[in-house]
Amino acid sequence: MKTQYHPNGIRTIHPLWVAGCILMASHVASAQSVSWKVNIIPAGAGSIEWVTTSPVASGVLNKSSTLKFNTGSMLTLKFKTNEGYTLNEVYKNLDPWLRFLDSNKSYRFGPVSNPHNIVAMYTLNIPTGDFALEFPDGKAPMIADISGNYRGVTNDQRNYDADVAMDESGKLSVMGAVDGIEPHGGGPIQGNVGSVKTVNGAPTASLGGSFRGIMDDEPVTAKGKGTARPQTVNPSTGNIEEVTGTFAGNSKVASTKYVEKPTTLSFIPSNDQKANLSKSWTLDLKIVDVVDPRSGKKSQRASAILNLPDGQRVSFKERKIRYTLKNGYSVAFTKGIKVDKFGNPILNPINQKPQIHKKCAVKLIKMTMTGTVGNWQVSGGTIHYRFLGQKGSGNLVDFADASR
Amino acid sequence: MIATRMGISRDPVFSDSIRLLLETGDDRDATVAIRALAQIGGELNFRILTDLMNNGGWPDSLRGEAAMAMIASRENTLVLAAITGLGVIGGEENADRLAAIMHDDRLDDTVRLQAALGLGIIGTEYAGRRMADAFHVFEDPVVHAQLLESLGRFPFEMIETTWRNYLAAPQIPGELRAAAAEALAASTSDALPYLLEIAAMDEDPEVREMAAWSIASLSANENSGSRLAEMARHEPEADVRRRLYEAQLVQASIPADSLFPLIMAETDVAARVAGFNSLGDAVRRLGQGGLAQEFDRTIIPELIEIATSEETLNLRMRAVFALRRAQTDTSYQALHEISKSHDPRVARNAMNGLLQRNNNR
Repeated sequence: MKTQYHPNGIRTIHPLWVAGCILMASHVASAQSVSWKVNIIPAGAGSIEWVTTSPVASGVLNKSSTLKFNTGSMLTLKFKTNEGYTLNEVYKNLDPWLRFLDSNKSYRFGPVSNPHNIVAMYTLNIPTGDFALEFPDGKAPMIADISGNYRGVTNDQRNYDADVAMDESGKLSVMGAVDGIEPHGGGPIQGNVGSVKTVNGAPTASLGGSFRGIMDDEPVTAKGKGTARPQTVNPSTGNIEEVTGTFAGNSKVASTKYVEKPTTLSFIPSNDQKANLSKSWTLDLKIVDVVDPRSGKKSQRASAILNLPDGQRVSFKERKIRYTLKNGYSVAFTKGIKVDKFGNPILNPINQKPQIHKKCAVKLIKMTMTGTVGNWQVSGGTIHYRFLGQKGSGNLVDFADASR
Repeated sequence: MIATRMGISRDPVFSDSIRLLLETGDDRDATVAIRALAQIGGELNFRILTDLMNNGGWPDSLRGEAAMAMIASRENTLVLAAITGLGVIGGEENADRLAAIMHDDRLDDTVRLQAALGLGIIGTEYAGRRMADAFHVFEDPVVHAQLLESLGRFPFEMIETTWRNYLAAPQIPGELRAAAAEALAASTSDALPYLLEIAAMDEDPEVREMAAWSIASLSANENSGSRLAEMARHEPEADVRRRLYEAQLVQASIPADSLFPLIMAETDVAARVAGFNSLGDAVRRLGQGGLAQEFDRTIIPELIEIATSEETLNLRMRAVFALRRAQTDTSYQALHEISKSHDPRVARNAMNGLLQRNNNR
């Protein structure tokens, strides 16, 4: 049995062989009726509307079938294509017939006297191209980066100026100064003060620490912990307009003890501070066809660039993916490398090797698409994302819409 | 209710009267007023109730009333804020209220989880016992990680048995075991011996990493520097060593001599920068000497390169932190150079280091 690799990667029997076998097997013509075998390959790719004049009848074939009608009848066949497929060729017996169809993909045969075999060959349209996915404010859990400088005035009227570094796990390190306060042993006020994680769908900073030093020339010790999360996001600008949280702690200044019972705090970031609260990110997805030079078999491969809220870019190398009409594409991007704005790897200065951006992953699940070659739109599926110590998931359509 | 009885619902004058009653009446009047304002509704009235709930100057009973009135509104933002408020107000009555919300399967999962987390805010043994039920109420591992973080804020003596059992259980996924180790960062310092044990011995590198990070968060002027350095010497994973170096910053003394060759042998950039931070702090503590000279000669050029490279913002900021810690003349020169960086956040960070020097003079 002759086999070949179909352009869309499906191994199949050559259509001419099919047509020939069916023709030989079905060559039965009665004096008054005739049978035509009509095949739709692959099943479910299309349908064929038929009309006969003798008898006067019509119908729709949704799968391969046999039509019986009287000798001398006219037979009109109209070839229809289901979503996601293209009518590649039509064979009448062994003869290509697509070019004879009219603009409605229809042909009128007859008067018919002999049995024939019709094969409608379809190919699955496989989406390729560049797809931009952008975090859609308000429609998926936010991931925030808060690295930067924070300046302001405390509730007790002390100027503060603090620099914050947030690592790829959301862990925070702070260094700064507050009027009238010096740490024990000198140097800047500094410490690992907590981390940012996703709690109940929102980025939440869990903060805590202890301090020993001098405040207004008095010895002071303090310990406290709290949380902070965005409370209000401006729908127009996307800026985080208010941060709320809780705080509890205790301190001792000279010999006086203070206890701060759990309390709710509200913080309105200044314009400078709002600029530090970065949450925009995009995934630039590329899907290409790749042809195996030995087998001629075509497959698809996906790569992506993730642009993180902290400005870092992560490049995920090509990996093989498979498309089905029902389930679209599913692909997991992990172990990406850090790249600069030109896409060049940021090399480790010690060993000159590309560096993996750790704890950073994006998964696309059942990403379906509609459209035609060169004009594909995401129509469904889910995205799961995890970086900067936080995570979330959302609808791919929202991410695709946000990028337009 | 008053509004219905008087046949007036949302008349602004009526609302003003209710607010006046709230301000001037006794606790019984205030309770009536709170319930009336909630029934009238509106943004202004709920803002008043929110402010009352968050104001420690009001009696806890009235703050709790305001919270329950907001919960009855069924408006999601108000409900979640009120649940947090109940946690902040605290007390056994509110712990019971939160536990009831957590167990109510007619409510949205977001609301129920917030109630569980609210028990963590209360932080008492009574609330902790209520919160332990949450692991049976919610099955999602993602939720369990959040519950662990909240439960981790309790004093270690209260949660130690739970934690030891949890971390020893083979069926618990690695991600949750790591979350459990991480959650102890918010507990009390008596968790340190246990964390040191996990950071040295656990088979999972992510668990060891999170335990090491928690050590850094819990320690204050501890004397574990040499032990942490020895752990780093035997630790195969760069991410764990990074956290062990970070933990050095809060130790009473930093064993710079034993750390220096370890750190200089690191090839992972994040681990190197963390190590440079601990060495920079050691330089400041020890003053001028062999370590300072070596720091100036071999480490500062690399820190300048990292701070001005295309590396992640986090590493660039931490490279500047290392220079700010060292406080040598060469480190200040480096900060001066970096203060002209194209990235305003890194430049500002370096500038703050220079300002700090001026303040110290």
